[in-house]
Amino acid sequence: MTRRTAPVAPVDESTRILDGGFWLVLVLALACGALLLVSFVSGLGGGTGAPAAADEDALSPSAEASIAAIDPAVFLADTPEDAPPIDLTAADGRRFSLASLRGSPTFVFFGYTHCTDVCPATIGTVGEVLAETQDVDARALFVTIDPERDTPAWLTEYARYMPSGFVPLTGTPDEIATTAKAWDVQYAKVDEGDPTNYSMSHTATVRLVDAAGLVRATFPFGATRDQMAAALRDVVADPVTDQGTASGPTPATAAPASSAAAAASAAPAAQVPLTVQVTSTSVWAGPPSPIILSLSRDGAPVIDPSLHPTVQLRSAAGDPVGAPVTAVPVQPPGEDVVRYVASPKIPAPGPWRIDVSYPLPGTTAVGSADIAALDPGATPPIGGPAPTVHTPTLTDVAGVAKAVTTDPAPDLRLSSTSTSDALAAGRPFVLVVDSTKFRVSPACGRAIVMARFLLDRWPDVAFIHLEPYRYSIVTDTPVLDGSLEDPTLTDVAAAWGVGSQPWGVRSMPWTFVVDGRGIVRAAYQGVMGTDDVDVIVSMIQAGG
Amino acid sequence: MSRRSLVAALVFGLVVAACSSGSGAGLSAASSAGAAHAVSVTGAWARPAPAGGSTAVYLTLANGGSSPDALVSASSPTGSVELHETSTDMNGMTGMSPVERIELPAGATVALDPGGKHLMVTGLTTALDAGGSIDVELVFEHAGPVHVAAEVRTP
Repeated sequence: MTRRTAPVAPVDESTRILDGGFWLVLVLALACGALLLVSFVSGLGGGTGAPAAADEDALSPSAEASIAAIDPAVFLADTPEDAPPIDLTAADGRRFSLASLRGSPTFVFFGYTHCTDVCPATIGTVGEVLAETQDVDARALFVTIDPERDTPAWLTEYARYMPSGFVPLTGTPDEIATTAKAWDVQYAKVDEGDPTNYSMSHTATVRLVDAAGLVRATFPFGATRDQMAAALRDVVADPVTDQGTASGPTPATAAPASSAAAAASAAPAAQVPLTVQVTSTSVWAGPPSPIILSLSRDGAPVIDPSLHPTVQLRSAAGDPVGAPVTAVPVQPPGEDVVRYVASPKIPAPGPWRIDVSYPLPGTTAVGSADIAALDPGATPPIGGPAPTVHTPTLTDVAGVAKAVTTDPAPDLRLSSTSTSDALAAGRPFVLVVDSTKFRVSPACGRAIVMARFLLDRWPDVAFIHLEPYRYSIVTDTPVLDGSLEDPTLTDVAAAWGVGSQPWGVRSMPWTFVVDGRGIVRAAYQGVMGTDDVDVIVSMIQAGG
Repeated sequence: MSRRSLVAALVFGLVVAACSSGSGAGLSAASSAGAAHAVSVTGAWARPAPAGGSTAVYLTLANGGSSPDALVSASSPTGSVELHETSTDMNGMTGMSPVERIELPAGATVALDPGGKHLMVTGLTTALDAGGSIDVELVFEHAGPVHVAAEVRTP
């Protein structure tokens, strides 16, 4: 199959109609097929014994099966065009552009993480394609069309469940709208009455952008791994010869700025490239604070529990800053993975880079990752003592749960111990400042869910929930003092500095990890990932 | 052959093929909720997902009895469950919508597979990691409740 169509060739009207109406034709064909099936099954007169069920279920499975039968060549673009730009925010908060992946074929898919069916199925299929075509070094971008819920912090958590090679991206609602429009992706919230538990309707096609930045294929939902892999190999084997219209952003020669994987490829030939992923959801400027790293080499995770990699902080421009620090290996109990925790001192908020290296026989493994250091404001400095304030417990409020939590179905273990009790007892604790009812951000309530999840893993650690805002109980219902736009912090929450600038009172949730000596060891703004708390608590419990 | 007619031909061919293979679907009953209503649920699985996230449970329902039944609700201690169906419109837009019930005529087998009907689970209270399982209770109109543990895995 030869598809060296000159990209500059004008699109004639018949081609345009075919491209634009292609899915219409397909869907109509499927609908007709379903009708045919209905009549066919009905005509069997109960031969299968299940005419009604077969009718109802006819469209979906057969639609998928039908798409699976199509020659993957059908999905290839006749006239490849420049991929529209994607310049959004990655899970670690840094900016990420599609242009930075120039040189690697890249699948692009728009969806949302709370999608239960179409998106995970599509992500899974593309992940399988990446896994079986590792020789061509393809990547995949997942662009959310639900930026309200898909915050960077949440994407960090979700990314743990994505196949390797996937980069999830989010942005402001305006950025997402602009990007989706450029990619001809439509989306809409399907309001089911609950502002936090809605589904989305969206265009679920997968695009394939080639190494030169041209959109070379469009796959409908239901396209199979084999079809996508075949199209990918076709595209790789058959680049468009005329590069004249490939006028998109220039290839990323300054690789480290874009992705950890791309950064690894910038390592000199004598070194072994190391892929560095920052799994901490918050990285802080100020005193040395932990950055959790996940390392992999040749696609395989580095899980050596005795390895102590060296980490050098660099400015975004690449100049070394401060002395290198040694990262500590941490293997959470029951987990196969090993994380490496580095605690460099980052002088100021903003973009930074870390280089990670460790010796191998005759060579060195080297990789780097971009980080975005946050301003801690007036939260207690990491490495310093925790505030000695007393978070209210059930005992303080005579067992009236609503007085200490707005969670309608609270886990009372989160309200049974005060931070002052834990400090007095020399017991490590995780303080979650979050509200289920007074949701100032879409992330609200999620940190409590996360705490519940982690609670059972760490019986020796106190998990403590603190409502951030003042409220009263009016006829059995918590009613906020003030408004959601301008809530009033409780004195205890204020003592933890969670309302301080630059964050402000509406920056919930916050999470703090404090060790048995009463020292703040980690802080997270937004929903923490499981790695965040799990790894830091593992380190503390191991005496680190 | 033009692309358009090629696609149409393939689609029609496949639909007929899918139909003829439909009657041959073998089934081994795993659990039954009473002798009178031989409803079975097999092959239940769900994709891994983080705590606080969402997933879908897929499975195959079979009614080995002689009277019709229907799946009318489902629940789980791990999250909220709704019977859902994915649909694709003329523009390639996909969406999900709740369905009140999934009919299960006498002798019928209904597969809840990716891209079609499924049990949508939201607000997961724990992470679902591969190798684990999620408990789901299905309620049938006549057969009553049937408990399944869906394996957490990728397909």
